[in-house]
This record gives sequence, structure tokens and C-alpha cells, in this order.
Amino acid sequence: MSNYIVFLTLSAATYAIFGLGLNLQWGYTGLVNFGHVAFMTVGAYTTVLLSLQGVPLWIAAPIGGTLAAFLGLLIGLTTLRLREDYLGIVTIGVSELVRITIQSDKFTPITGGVGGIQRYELPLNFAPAVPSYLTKLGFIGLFAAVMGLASWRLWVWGRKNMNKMWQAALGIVSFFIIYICGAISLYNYDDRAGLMLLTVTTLAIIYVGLERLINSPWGRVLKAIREDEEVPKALGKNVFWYKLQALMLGGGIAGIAGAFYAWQITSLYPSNFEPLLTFNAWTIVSLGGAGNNVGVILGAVVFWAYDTVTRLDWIKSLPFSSDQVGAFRIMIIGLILMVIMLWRPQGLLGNKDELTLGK
Amino acid sequence: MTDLLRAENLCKSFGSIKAVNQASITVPAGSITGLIGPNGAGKTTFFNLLSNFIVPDQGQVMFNGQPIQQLPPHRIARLGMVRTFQVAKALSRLSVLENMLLGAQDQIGEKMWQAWMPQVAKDQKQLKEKAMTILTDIGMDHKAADFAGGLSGGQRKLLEMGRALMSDPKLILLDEPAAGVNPRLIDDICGHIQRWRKDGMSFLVIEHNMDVIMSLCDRVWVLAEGSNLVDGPPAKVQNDPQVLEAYLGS
Ligand SMILES: Nc1ncnc2c1ncn2[C@@H]1O[C@H](COP(=O)(O)OP(=O)(O)OP(=O)(O)O)[C@@H](O)[C@H]1O
Ligand SMILES: [Mg+2]
Repeated sequence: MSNYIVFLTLSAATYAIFGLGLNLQWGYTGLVNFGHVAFMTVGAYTTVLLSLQGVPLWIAAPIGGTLAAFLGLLIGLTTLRLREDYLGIVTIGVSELVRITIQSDKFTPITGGVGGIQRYELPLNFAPAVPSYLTKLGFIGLFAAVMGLASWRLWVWGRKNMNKMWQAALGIVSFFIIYICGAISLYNYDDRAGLMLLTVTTLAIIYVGLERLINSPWGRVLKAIREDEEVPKALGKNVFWYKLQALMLGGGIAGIAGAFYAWQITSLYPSNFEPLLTFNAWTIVSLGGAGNNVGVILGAVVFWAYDTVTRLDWIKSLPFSSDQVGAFRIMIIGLILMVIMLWRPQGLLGNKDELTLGK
Repeated sequence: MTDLLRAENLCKSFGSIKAVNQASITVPAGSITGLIGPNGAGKTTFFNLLSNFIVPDQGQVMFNGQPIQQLPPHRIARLGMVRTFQVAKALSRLSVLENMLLGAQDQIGEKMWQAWMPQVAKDQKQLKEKAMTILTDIGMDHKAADFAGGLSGGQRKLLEMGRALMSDPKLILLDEPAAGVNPRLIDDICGHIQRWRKDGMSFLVIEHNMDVIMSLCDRVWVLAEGSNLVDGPPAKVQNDPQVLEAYLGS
């Protein structure tokens, strides 16, 4: 049970970071990025390849994020001055280009090509040794701090919106369950538990940072661009530069998510970076509500809860082949998205009032 | 008076339509200058050329003694010339107050790396007070917390003007500020424009409502089919046979 929760938390947190990057670009700035996985690919491969050269992970991962942001700069400089749909088309192309480059013969000596990379360093991996009791206690304490802080924020939010109280309570209860399971796993330490702690902590830091940015005058300009870019332009804001920053920062965040993704899957293949991942990020952002960071995190949790539940053993007792089940799972996601678009087009946490507004 | 804005021989064609053809204008500092003309005369296009939202085919624009036709629109706005839109553009999913705050220039925290600075909150508080003062002036203070997308057409026009004022501009280009605004409020707005002018701001106003033009403007320029027809004091322009013909003929 606690292994299952750790896996779920780890996957959801990684995808939440990934989704937060897209949410900055699409949800707040209105940039159509259909190649989000490209940033993740660059982040993942950079981190892993650098760590193979002996670069410490805590340096390699930020460099991965920086290179992903640099990819955003390249894409932005070439397309952001054009009509907005060009960005969508170019990002699709770039994401495939990145993947195909990595698996091409020419780069196989560096990237491992289709054969992938199997053994690389993982963070907080003490094996075969075990961390000391003190270290473990420190980890459990840090985890308590992060989950406690999250619960406290939810509590404050619930107090402010009295009608949302039960939702806040539900969130706090789930945090508590995650905490208990996480703490048990951290106590019986393995590197999965350590990675989960690291991912959740990183997610918390990125979330807090993004919220601060979004609620600053800088974030206001992004939202203005999303609504109608002529207005900030007429009021002296350099719209191009702001869009570029959003694209780069969102890409950098996806690059960081790439490092965690690589550590989670423990061996890296180009096929891990199919366009399906971009689709998943869009699903998560739409599920939770574009332009709502808490919603994105919730969307990632719902997405992974769905994903893992439909991979459990009970599925095998159904009279379908595994291919059929696989196709079926994706169909259901499509169906859920359609239902959401009809019933709650603002997403699970979005504000309905916003949608009834005209331009 | 020195010229705050001087545009000479601006031209812009859309395909075979010469929307603006060799049009010129001067706006003296501290003035309220009017720009009138029949529908389709090219007034809005002329504004777009002045602010470089549309790049002119040819012509010069000087603002505050500096050539600006090479500058991107946001740089022109930062120099102190802010335009508004004929079809008012509200930022729907931002509150009215947020719309106003967007207008302020050089805010602390407008740059990404400043978002964490402690001065941001103080700066924003001051700007909010300023925004509320302007909103009160234009009779919109009770709407401050509402989404701008819920405003009526007339309220959007007012919001647009207020937002432009937030930037402390030297010159505001108003494209039909009175269109769709109720008559009593039009009088109020005219009063405020006069007052803002006394504070040192200048205005270039496109308007079909002749009462507004007559009561506000020091000088009026008439555009017809993309070219200058006449210009002069409002009383003179109003009775000019050429102007009457242009309006009746269209
Ligand atoms: N983007 C464009 N593409 C093609 N034609 C255009 C464009 N913008 C304006 N025009 C044409 O240019 C001419 C001038 O239009 P403009 O909007 O400047 O007129 P106006 O004087 O502002 O009229 P109104 O008083 O009705 O607002 C019109 O014939 C219009 O159809
Ligand atoms: Mg017009």
C-alpha cells in the first residue's frame, strides 16, 4: 500500500511540475505549446549525460533546466513574432525533431540512440549502504514540513472560502495519508522514497515561486497578453519579451521535470518521450483548469490515480486483450476530457464566472 | 506653443484602398486637438500609423521632438503617447482594478527578478490608491473588484481611458471616447478631460459627436478619404462648406 502511494505521489509530482510549466505558457500567457515534451527531453538527457561525466546531480539538473529554457529561447526568437498558431506548429515539429535527433545513428555514441541509457546515477541513492537514523529522521522531518505547509495553505484557503471547506478538508486528509505512507517508506529507506521526497519538495518550491510571480506585476502582464496582447502593447509593455520569458521559464520548469522523470524511470529511451507526454500535460492542465496552479497539481493527481487504478490486476479479469485495454484507457481519458469540457469547461478548480465573460 | 506631436504625409494602403493618403497633423503641447471625418475616412487607421500599430508606407512622425516612426509601439507608449481603441478592449478575466494597474509605467515587480522584492507591495498599494482615484473620477469605483469582461460597452470605453491615464502620459489618443456613453456621463468626461489638460496632459480626440468636439477642442482637423480636408478652430470648421459636403456626400 505505502509503495503504491509513494509511486503515485512520485509520478503525480513529476507530472505536476511538467504541467506547471505548460500552465505558465498556456494557462497564464496564452502561448500554444504543442511540443512540451521537447523541453522535458532536453532536461532529461542533459541531466543524465552530464551525470555520466561525473557532474554532480544537483548541478546537472539545473543545467538541464537551463538548456531546456534555451530551447524555449530558440523557438521563441524564431516564431513569437509570427502569428500565434505558428508557435503551435513549430513546437510540434521541434519535439519530434529533438526525439529523432537523439535516436539517430549519428548521435548514438553520445545518447545511446534507440538502445537508450540504462545505468546512471540516481539522487539520494545510498545503496548498498543505508542512511543513518539521523538522516532518515531529517528526511521524514522535511517531508512533514512540506506536507504540513501544504495542508496549512489549504486550511487558510478553506477558511477564506467557507463553501470550499470540505474540499480543503479532503485535501488535508489526503496529504496526511500521503505523509504517513511516505514516512513509512522513508523509514524503510529505498531510493524511491528519497526521490519522492526530493520531487515533492521541488514541486513545492516551484509552486510557491510561480504563485509569487503570477501575482506580481510581471504576472499581470502575462495575463493581459493572454486576454488581448494589443492592450499591454499600447500601455508600454514589451509583449514579445514577456512571451519569450514565459516560454523560457515554462520550458525550464519542464526541463527540471525531465530530470525527475529520468530518475524515476531509471533507464532512458527516446521512446519515453513520445508526443503522448505532451498530450498528457494538456490533459492535466485542462483537467485542473488552465490558469490555476493548484488545479494543475490536482489534475496530475487525478490523472495518475486514474492511470494506476486502470493498470491494477482487476483489469486482467475483464474479457479484453491487453491491447484493447490499452486503447480503452486512452479512449476513456478522451471521454473524461469531453465530459469536463461540457460540464466544467473551466476545469475542476477553475472559476466558472470567468467563462461567461465576453471578450 | 511647441508641437508635441507632428505627423507629416503619412500614407497607408490596404491593397488598392488608400486608407490614409498623405495625411498630416500637429498637436500642440497642452492642447485638445480634434480629428473628425466621415465613416471610413481613415481616422482609426491614422491612429494606428501614429502609434505604429500599423507601419506606415511612408511619412514621418515626430513626438516630443524625436522621430518615432521607427520605434515599436510599446516604446512609443513609454515615451508618453498612449492610444486607446475604437472598439474598447477590456481584459475580460482581470478585474477592473487589475486592468487599471496594468497601465502604470515602471512598476517595481514588472521585471521577473523583482517579483520577490519587498517594495513591490508598497508600490502596488500606492498605485491602487491612484487607480481608485481615477476610477472615482470616471464613476467606476463601485466596479473595481468585478471582472472587466462583465462591463457594458460604455463602461469599457471609460475603463480604457482610465487605464491610459494610469500611465501618466503626455498625450492620449482617444478613438471616439463618447461613443456609447450616456449623455450625462459624456458631460462629466468632457469636464475631466479639461481638468486633465490643465494638469498638463494633451489629447488627440476622434469623435463623431460634434457637441463634444465643439466644447473640447482648440483645433480640429478634418480627414476625408484618407487626406486632410481642412483644419482650424471648431466653429470655423463646423460651417466650412467643404466639410459639410464631405459629410453629406458620403
Ligand atoms: N486592416 C484593414 N484591411 C483592409 N482595409 C482596411 C483595414 N483597416 C481599415 N481599412 C479600410 O480603410 C478605410 C479607413 O478605415 P478607418 O477604420 O480608418 O476609418 P474611420 O475613419 O476610423 O471610420 P469610422 O469613423 O467609421 O471609425 C476603410 O475603407 C476601411 O475599410
Ligand atoms: Mg474609426
